[in-house]
Amino acid sequence: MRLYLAYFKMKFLNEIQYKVAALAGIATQFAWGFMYIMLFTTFINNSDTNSISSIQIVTYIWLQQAFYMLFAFWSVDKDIFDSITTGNLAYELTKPVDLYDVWFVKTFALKIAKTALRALPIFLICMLPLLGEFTMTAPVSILAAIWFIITMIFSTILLLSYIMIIYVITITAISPLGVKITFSLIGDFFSGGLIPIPLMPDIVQTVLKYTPFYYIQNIPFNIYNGYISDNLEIIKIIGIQVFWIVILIAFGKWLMNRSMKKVVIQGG
Amino acid sequence: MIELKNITKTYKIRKRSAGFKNAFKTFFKKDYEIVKALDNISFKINEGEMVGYIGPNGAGKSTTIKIMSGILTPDSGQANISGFIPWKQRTKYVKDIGVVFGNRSGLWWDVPVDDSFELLKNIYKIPDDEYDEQKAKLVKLLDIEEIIKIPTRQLSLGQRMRCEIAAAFLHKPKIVFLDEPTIGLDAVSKIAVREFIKKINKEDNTTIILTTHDTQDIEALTNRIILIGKGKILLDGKLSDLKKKFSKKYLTVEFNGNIDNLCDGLVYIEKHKGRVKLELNENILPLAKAIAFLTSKIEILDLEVDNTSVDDIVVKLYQEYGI
Amino acid sequence: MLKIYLTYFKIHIKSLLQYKMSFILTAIGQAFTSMFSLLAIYFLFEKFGNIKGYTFEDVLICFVISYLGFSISECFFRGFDSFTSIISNGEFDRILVRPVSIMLQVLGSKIEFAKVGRAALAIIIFIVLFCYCPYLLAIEKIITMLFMILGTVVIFSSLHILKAGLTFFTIQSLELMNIFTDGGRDLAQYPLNIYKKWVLNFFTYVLPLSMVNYYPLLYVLGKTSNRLYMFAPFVSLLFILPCYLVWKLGVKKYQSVGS
Repeated sequence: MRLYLAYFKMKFLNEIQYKVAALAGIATQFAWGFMYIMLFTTFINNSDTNSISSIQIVTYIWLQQAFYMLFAFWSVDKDIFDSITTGNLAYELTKPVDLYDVWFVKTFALKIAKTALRALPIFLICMLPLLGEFTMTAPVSILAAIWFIITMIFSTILLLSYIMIIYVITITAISPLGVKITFSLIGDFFSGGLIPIPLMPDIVQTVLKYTPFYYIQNIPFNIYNGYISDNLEIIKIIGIQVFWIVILIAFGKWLMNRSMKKVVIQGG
Repeated sequence: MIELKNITKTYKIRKRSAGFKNAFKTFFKKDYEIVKALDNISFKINEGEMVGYIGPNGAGKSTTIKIMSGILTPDSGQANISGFIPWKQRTKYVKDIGVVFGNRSGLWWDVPVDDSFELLKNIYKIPDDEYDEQKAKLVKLLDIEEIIKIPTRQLSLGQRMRCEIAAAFLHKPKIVFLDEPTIGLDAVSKIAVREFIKKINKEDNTTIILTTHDTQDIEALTNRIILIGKGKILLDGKLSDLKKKFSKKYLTVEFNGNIDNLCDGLVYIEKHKGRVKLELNENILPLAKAIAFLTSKIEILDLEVDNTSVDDIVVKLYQEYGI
Repeated sequence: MLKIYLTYFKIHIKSLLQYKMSFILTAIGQAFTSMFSLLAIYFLFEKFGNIKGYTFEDVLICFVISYLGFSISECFFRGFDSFTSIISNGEFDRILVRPVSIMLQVLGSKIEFAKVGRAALAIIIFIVLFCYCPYLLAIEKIITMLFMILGTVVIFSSLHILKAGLTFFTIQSLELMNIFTDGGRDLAQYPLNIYKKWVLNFFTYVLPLSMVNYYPLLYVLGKTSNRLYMFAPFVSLLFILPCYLVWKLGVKKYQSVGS
């Protein structure tokens, strides 16, 4: 725990330094938010296909922008990645800590730090009624807010366990950068990073329900805006989140052990 | 011919103090500090001269070079270099000058040096036969025949610098500005570079302006020194005159016996039993007489005579002018 | 001048061959991202059928033109896009000391061939489009689309020049410029009139993106037979002026204040 706090403090202070960059980042977030909202609401309003409502989409998009850095697959810890690509990995093995846990905590801290700066302003501004039809709503009910918080935590952990697998595959990959790009693009897209899952064709949605991608940003955001509201359904979903978390972490750790053994044999 | 008259240049530097609160304050109100980088600089340099432009960091050396190479416009004053006003007629003026920035590369990183040369050939519109001739000459003088086919990034610093210098002379410029050209180089490369500059200056009558902290550069290459400090020209004269003015010899003597007191012109630097280091001011007492004096007092076992290094001269200069 | 640019070009190709692996990877990554953008459009149309009267093929035309124009511009004008590095490592001083136009040198400083990865996908789709939509094969429509692509290149390149010019005045808020370049590209995937009215107006009077994306499209799709719309992309040439002005002012400022 102390380790976590230490990392958090370090990463957070680092982010503050780049306060202007943070401001510019927030402005970018707004611009993209507006753009996607316009696009999706036009699709929704101009057709009579049964789908998510535009009010729900507006809130979804703003939540997505607020928590952008949290759920972005491509935003990983640069130091960790560098240590893999430069082969400094061998030195990490000399430290008396479980590398998997260290990386997990580091990346977690990084993501929280990056998000903390941007989430609050976006939340505050987007709730302002003067945005008219672009206004973000509050959670549809107190229960929804509670479910939101719970599923956010699980979603984040699930995302991290996926990212850990990206790290580990990179260790023994011929081209680390290629692996990173491929896996993060796939992850970003199919978890709803480009278009929200409710806007995808029904077949695609059904298929995605069998993958971990359906259970990352898609769940908490759509609970918040009321799209997913059946309590039984939500409990089932949380169960599936836990299921995927366990599988991915187990797989990640197993893969890491195997890869590290290879590294030691090859000499890094 | 280079002529600068009353060149002045001031900078507005934004004052920024540390800390979150101060950063916030300066966001709204901007505090400026006016720094006079150059204050009425004037000098004249004739064709074919080799001048050392020295001074402590921040004295205004690079500002002057930038103005002379047309990169920067002064606030006031005139400059006439080869008949041009550098910053006003940049493209025309720049055709005949060369610049070497010591710590930055003018060569392309990933491709062989030769390709960078070819690019320069096109940029300076050098005719084929002139280019071939000049390139062959430079390659031979700087001994880079074997390395010009190698990509720049694979070269050592010494090799790279020699290629950089060759690049600056490809178009046979009449004036060349060298900004710390030997910085970071090993001894062999330094000597090679100095020899080259001397030779080119002699053969082509190229005017050379050299800014450097390396006093051996100064000694080897220049016969005239312009000293700048806090934006003002403090000294403009011949190196040999400076040497005479500040020159002191150092005598390290191993001996038997005792020296009771020294005569005028000799001062103790170090005093041990049987060994002393003395500073001799030749303006007061010539070397021959100093040795005669010592011989009369003690039995000399070993005697070493050192000259003041140019380093010391420079340090004394800085001290004298308070910079 | 052309000779000098060609020498730059040769150097960059040689440089490219040194880093073959990196080039291939980046190009594939680029192609990959555009593939997902395309997939997004496909999904949306599968679900909703159409948007404001435009079919999937209609939108594809916008997509192709926007991506093609954008990647060409990114490839050749990269020197302006990453101008901050030129200033910060002192390369600009060196540029000023050479007897050649500053713009030519900045242009030649970086040519990123890998960006064509994005264009590769667009070109494939272009060809497929021609097969499925024979009405596009009319000569005036082809010429219009050519104008649209060139006009897109002009607009994005001008934006890059603008961004470089702004670098002389501030290093900080340059990320904001990306909103217009990347954002413009993504917005222009669709005909610009599907967004709010003020978006279309902004992209007509301030940043004439609609002149290369929307108005000529009307002609290509047959929604208007007014020949004038063919030449709308030429308005983009006007946009060069203010961007170039900012650039020139920036250079002047650099020469009076230094780095």
